[in-house]
Amino acid sequence: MRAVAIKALQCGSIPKHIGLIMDGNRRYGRKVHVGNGKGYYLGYETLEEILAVCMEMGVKVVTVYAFSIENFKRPADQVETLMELAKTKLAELCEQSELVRQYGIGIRVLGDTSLLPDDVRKVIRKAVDLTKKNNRAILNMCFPYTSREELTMATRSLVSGIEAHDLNPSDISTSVLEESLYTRSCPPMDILIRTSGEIRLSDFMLWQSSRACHVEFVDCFWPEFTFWKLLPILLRYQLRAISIAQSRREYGRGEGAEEEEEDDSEAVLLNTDVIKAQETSLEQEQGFVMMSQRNSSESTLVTCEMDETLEVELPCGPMLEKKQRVSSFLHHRGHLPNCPIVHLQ
Amino acid sequence: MPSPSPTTTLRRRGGSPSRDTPTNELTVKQEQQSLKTSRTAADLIADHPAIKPVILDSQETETPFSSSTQATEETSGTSFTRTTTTTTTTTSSPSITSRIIHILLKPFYFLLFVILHLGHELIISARTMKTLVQVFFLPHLFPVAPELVRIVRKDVGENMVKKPTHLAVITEKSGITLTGEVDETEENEWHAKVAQLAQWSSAVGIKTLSIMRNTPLDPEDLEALQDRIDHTMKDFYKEEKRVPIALVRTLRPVEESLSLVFQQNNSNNNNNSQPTIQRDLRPHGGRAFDLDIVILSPEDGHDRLAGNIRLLGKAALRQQITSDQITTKFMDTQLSADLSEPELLIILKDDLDLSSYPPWHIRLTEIFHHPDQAVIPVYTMFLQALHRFAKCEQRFGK
Repeated sequence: MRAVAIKALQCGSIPKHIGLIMDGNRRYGRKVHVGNGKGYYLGYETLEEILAVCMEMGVKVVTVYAFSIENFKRPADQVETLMELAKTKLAELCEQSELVRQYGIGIRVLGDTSLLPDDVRKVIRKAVDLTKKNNRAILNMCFPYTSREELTMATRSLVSGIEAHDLNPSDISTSVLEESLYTRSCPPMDILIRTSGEIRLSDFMLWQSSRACHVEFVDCFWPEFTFWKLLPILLRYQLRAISIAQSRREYGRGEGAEEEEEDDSEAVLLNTDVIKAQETSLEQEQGFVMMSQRNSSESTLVTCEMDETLEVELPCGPMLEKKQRVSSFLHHRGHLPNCPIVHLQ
Repeated sequence: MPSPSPTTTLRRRGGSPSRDTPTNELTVKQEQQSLKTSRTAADLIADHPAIKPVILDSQETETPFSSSTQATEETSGTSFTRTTTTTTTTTSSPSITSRIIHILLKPFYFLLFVILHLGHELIISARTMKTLVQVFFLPHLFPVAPELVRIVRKDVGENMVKKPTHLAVITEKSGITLTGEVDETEENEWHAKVAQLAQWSSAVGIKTLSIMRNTPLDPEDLEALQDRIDHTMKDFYKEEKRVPIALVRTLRPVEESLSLVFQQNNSNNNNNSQPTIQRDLRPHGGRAFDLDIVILSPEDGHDRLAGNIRLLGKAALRQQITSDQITTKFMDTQLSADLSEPELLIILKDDLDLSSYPPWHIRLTEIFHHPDQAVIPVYTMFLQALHRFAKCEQRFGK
């Protein structure tokens, strides 16, 4: 029955990236009188089920809010339970999970893992490393994550890049910032679902969800969430899909002609592009040196003036150089060890 | 100078020893080595069922897959694709019957798809009918658009426990038509809507009202809007002695936010005072006002954050700040200097879409959206949102 419904849904457009705020596990646990801890386990089972459904449909990325930095404020025993759960389930996911093997899911852990205990961090590292090569789908576990931390982290790393003179302030654009977030190798978020009837985002994927994203607040606890509750959301998304795609294009255009189009093929071609860019910019540089040497007798000044003159007179050269500089910066720094870049199929 | 050349990075990432051999070596040797690597790659694939591609729609998947393997810098791209093609032929040939069944089933699935959507549409229309009926009986409860502050106060009720101090509203498309010209009537309607919202908000006691629109507002229009709001406020409060003052503004350029932070830091250091100074630092334009109306456009969202990084980067180059100084708290003081965090967000659009509302600020905002925008008056939604907000409890992660 479910498989048939999924096949039917596939006639329309399928979201590429779904975000889930799994809220209401404890309240559900209390509701069915099994306690908080059991509630979390039930919640995990639901996650597995929904993940399987999403994969079967062909969703590329599923991002789940497992633990917020704010959640450290909870009673210690509850935090402990969650850590234990995360540890066992992550190990299980990367080693034995049939789902992960079958759909080639790469596990990513988004968030400030330095806040976690050592043993949990070790498991995370292992899970990420083991599934690093899986490039057909991504499961993003936000653990411990807040969107403000993500934005701060990205800002800090870009500013440090400027400080180290790897980047120019003029290189920074909205798309560059987007590429330095934890979700850098994921397509833009299409659907964000929050369960338990709350109507706020609680610091989850603020950047990703605030434009061209279908947000849904569902009035049931997370363990009660099933495919049949997902179905109407998907139908509503399909009705909106065209307008979402259109507004995304508008945003892309708004970023100006200088900006590179955020295209899937762009990412694939990036590496070859960089080489070409470097070659051409080198040629141009050489040509320029000769030209300017003819013009001015002081050859020492030439190198200093180079950057400025290039920007003014050769609109093509600095643009390619900029592109290359940005992409090499984004590729080489290793501040996101738990989110290796992958090119999704 | 820029980072190491991409070619060297390619090699480093590829990790295969064969790539590191000098180019002037014997070609035979190279061939042997490449053969060796191809074999190991094939073995790797056999071991890793996760990387193995699904070969259902063979023709379609082949090309993107081979290109993506190059992109992911697998050591031997060519051998990889060769193995995929061979598996394609072996797996797809016996499944001709299943393929025929699949093709036969397609219309059936499509029919089901249509039925699902129709059913969904039906449910939505049923819900719309229900709200229509409700709206029909509304005038007995409260007016569709009250014109006096007394009425709003009565409708909201005295016993509302929690009221937002900052209300955000996202409005429907306005201003520019398809041809790119400013549509006068639509713009006018938008102004009227803002004026109304300002009236109601001031009656409830909201301090800040931020309104999101699709296009940036003209500075000339800002003046006109200010006049209009002043005018309507007078009408609205004609029974009262004092008319509250509303000030309309847009966000100040991001460049000013940093100096504000420095000011605050300095004053904090000097006086050792609490960080509450931040609110007083807002320039009031020489006027005291009761309601602060901020008009936002999509450029104030994501682009402002990027602009902020440019600004911080320049400051870092001037050695005013270091990158270690940038913490969540730092960014918050800087970004919230001009716009506080809204507590309630009402979306006056058909779809629940955050339309690039400044992402930093909507962390804990209650988002209210009524699915039947077309049939329900704005005032009703306004009241519903306030009541919904009063009921909400925030646990702040606990």
